[in-house]
Amino acid sequence: MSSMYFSVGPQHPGSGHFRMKITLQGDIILNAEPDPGFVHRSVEKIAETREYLQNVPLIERQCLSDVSSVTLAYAMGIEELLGIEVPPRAQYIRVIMCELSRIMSHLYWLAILGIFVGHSTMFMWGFGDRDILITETAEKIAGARVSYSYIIPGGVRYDLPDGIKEHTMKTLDYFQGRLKEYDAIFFSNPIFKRRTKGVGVLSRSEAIRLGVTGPTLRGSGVRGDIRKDAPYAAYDELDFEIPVYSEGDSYSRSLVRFREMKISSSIIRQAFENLPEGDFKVKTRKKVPEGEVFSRVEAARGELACYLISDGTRKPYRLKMSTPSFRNLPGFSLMKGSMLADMPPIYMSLDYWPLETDR
Amino acid sequence: MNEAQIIDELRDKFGERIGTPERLRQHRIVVTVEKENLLDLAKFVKDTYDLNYAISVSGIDYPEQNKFVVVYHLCKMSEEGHLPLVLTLKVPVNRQTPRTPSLISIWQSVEWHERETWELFGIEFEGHPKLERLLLHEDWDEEFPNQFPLRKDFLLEDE
Repeated sequence: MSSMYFSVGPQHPGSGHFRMKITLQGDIILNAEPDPGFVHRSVEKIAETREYLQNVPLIERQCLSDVSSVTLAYAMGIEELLGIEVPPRAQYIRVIMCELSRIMSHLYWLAILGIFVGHSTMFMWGFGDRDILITETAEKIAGARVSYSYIIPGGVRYDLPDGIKEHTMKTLDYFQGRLKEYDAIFFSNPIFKRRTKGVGVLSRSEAIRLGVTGPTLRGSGVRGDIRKDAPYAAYDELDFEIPVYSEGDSYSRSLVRFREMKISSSIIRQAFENLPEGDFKVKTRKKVPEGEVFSRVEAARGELACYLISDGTRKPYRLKMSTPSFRNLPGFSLMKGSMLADMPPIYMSLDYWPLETDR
Repeated sequence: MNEAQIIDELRDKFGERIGTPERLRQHRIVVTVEKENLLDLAKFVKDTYDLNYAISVSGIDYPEQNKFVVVYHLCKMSEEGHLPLVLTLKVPVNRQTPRTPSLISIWQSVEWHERETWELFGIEFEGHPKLERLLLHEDWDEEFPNQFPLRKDFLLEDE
């Protein structure tokens, strides 16, 4: 039988402009090759021409569904070079924002996964709840819904507003109920299970060999999470677990994210309960001393590493961001040998974000 | 294995063949190595310390010193998660003949990172199976022949 070659994309196949080159024989995918670069903006080059603080809004545009983690990795790098301690209150506020951001990103993913497997209710619910519950809370704290440039070197931009604890707790209470409904209508749905169980299986050793990260790694039975393994901000003072599933299929990768939403809610609660009094930022200098630093955070999609080199001026000499979506690119090889209809669930189970890959 | 032991062992084993291993802070060790000894050192750290997980590959341009530096960040991943130690290998590369061996035979996960560094810096990774356009557009070579955006001599319009 002759094979057929075609492109999926670049017009927005899921969550951004990106192309997959698919070779198909009958209904079986012979080869699937990711082709990123359609939204490359050379953030790393532009960052070398801007001052450190000016880069905050620039770099957060690489992943608009999860802006807190990338700005945190960058801020942590600068703080380490400056040798400053961030006040405990700011560390807790950072945790709150990072976990809100994680829920925001996972809801976005869940909504698109829903429509990809033909479940339009999950699409509506995911986006609806994300907008009304989570981005609204972020707006109350940071002043903007999505790209809030809230985490800056030295701390956070503003202190928490009055009444935000009560608001967030109420929101999270409601959200817990919604998670139960997601489970009933979507994750326990036999059709969804049939579409994802045993589809796109990634073994544990292969996951490590390919260097994938985040929920993709944890869905393959590896307990890799920077929040636990190399704690930053206030994560070492909070009690939370890391969900791990060993099947390595699209369903287990989805379940990791689903359970993370619940765990993130609990982390936010704990952070509010234990929130210390005090300053929310310290003064920083514009000139950063010479040196290099490699800071790592666990973003919603996986480990995000920021390699920052300073030559003692006001601008970074080199800023390299090793982003989770870029590191999950080898995961597209999972599509080989699957049926064409399995491509959307496998694609979504990797939670690939083209802008983050391209930078 | 603690960090001081790793530094001592690397120094004993490789001596003059590598630069002095440096401990930047807790969990960060940096080793500079010439490209001739890179594969030996890479194999050794992978086998001895089980550093099986490459986090990132970066390029840095130092035009005044007439060199690029290729930087590998490595860590160990087990079933129980990351080991917090990150070992950094720095490989100086001549700016006129930018070539260095690819480490893809040791860490499969450097594949896409090396391809990106090849594209944006013009550093040739010997033995890499697929050095092709990745992030830049297809007509880049026609419009900007022999130019690489992350080199310091590539200027943005407002610079």
